Amino acid sequence: MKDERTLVEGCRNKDRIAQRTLYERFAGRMFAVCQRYTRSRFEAEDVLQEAFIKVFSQIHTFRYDCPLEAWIKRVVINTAISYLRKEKAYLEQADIDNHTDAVAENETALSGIQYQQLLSLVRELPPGCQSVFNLYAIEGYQHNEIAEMLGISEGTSKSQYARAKQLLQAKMLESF
Amino acid sequence: MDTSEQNNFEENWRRAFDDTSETPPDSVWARIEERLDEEEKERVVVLPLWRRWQNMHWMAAAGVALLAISLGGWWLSQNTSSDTLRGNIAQNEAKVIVPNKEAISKEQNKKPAPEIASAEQTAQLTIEQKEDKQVYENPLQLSKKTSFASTDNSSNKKNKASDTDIVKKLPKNLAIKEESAVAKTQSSSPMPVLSATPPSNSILKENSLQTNDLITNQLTISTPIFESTPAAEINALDGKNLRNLPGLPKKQIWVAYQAPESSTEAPKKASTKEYWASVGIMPASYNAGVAIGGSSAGRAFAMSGQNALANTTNSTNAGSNRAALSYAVQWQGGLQLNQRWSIETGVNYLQGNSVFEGTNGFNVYTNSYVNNLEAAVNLSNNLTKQYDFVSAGNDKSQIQSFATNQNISNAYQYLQVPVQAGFALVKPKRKLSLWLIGGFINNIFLRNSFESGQERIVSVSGADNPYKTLSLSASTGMRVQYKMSKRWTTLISGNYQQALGSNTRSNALFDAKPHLFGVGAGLRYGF
Repeated sequence: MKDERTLVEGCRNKDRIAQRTLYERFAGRMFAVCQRYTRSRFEAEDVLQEAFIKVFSQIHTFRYDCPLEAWIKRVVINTAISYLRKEKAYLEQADIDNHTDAVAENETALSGIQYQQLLSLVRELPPGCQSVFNLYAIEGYQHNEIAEMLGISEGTSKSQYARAKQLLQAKMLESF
Repeated sequence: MDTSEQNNFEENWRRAFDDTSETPPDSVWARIEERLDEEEKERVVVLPLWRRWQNMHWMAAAGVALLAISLGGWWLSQNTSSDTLRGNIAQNEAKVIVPNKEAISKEQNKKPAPEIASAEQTAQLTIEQKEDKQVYENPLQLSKKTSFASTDNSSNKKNKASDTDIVKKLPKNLAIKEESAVAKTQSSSPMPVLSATPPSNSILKENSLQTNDLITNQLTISTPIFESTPAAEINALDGKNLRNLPGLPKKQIWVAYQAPESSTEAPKKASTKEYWASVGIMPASYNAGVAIGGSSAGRAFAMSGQNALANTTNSTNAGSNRAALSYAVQWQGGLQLNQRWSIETGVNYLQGNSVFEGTNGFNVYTNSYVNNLEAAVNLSNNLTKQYDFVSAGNDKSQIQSFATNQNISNAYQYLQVPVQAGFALVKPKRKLSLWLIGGFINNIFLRNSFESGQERIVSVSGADNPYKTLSLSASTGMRVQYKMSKRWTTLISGNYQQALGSNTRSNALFDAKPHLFGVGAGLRYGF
């Protein structure tokens, strides 16, 4: 913790060594997050770059009220969503009011499946589904919260997720 | 389908992606560094000043103190110069030169009187109290959302799942909120669970997964405003007051916050009963408030001795006091009882310089006040018999019977012990606070010295003097406090002191009711 504080203080003082250390400490895990929200490695690199620029410029707003990694991850996710919105690459679907839970009858366990394969599956999801899936299944947000975050209705969030789930399970059964 | 299996979908995916890491190419850091360099160049004009300023608390304090002292000095010098000019005019009108005892001459200076500059000074202190956006630390509450197997098929909405809060007290006030969510009811077809075996490093993985769940669940993407500026976006990311941001959901998944009682109550509790010590200096305008013939003995003395001696009919009571530049060095300590009240005491050394200006009246030797005071001192010292009125009266060469006006510097040294209470007019929510101070000051007399026109300095001290050893003054004032850091505070204060009654003994030949106005600056250390 003390080390983390030293690192944060160094970054606040624009100490390049501290910035580099912080980047190297979290870049790997954050790059994995970026990969999940984007459709290509190139986009993920762009998001990672923008996110860390924001981290360094806004590090003074970090109040130690949560783990540093969680704070950085929030920045990364927000940057990713913002990036996708700018790229107009998500939410291709209109609201689907008649949400159904009748999906994913065939649960597929993920053990033994390689990370890269799973990542490919997520990336193959339609853009809107991809974001909702990441936020709901991986990050653990509720649909009403995701709706607020993405500026969509809660019903849309649910239907997007249902669709994502259906697609993923179908692909898993098909692929594995 | 079993609800646990339904939730396994999310759980499995979460596990699959949690703690995953992929090394980005070096080019990413190179581009980041390039951007940082560019921004650094853009900020080089603005930022360094601010960053340096953050480390310049001492210089700031010194600057503020210097400013306060300068203002006080300027104010006093304005008053003093005005008074001096006025005094010079009077002196020029009737200046007495006594080269020796045998020669008495009168010289009238014909020089035109210089303009008397009246200086009025109004110090108005405006304190801007910025709206204090008090931001409470978001309580850190770690929450872990876990899915429990449940056979309850009546609940088919995850969002409407029954929650069971199990708050576990952990070290560092961390509480884990477990939200048991009844999984969605889905079709009951069995799932082909291929394997439930975790990866090879299963134990470590489980542990890290729990941690990552905690971290993951703390995440809150707090803004749906994606077109906002980066700054606003990041501010929204800040973990504070997320619920208050416009456009945010009423309910956040803030799974991570501290116990409310510790976050809201602790700061208040911590701020109460703080001891502090301060040191300061206060330039002041000190008026001795001397009035000759205050007591019956004095009046009797004036009628018998001096009037006879001077052979005039003028009373010597006519005279005025005016303030001169004085100062007080203050060492004080106090106790801040709560956010509103404080009590304080300490020791001040006061060097009170005043000028007694005789108006009209006769002049014996040099000045009536001096004579009176000297005589008073002598009388007070039981030396009355040694004061040879007759011989003095016979020596006409010592007597000047014309009207004159002369300034006599009159200095006092006191040790003061104030006992005061402070009330915060502007509560110290942030760095700046405004206090109303009031109380009493015990003045311990040390010395009085006055200078005659012939550069004769008479010192009055010791046990047998006309002054009370202890006299009381009322004190009131305002104080602005600027908290530079957790420990150090800069003080700027205005103080008015008025003697409660004369500070001379009852048998003294004159009264002295000094009053003082000063503007001081100081530095405080809180314990």
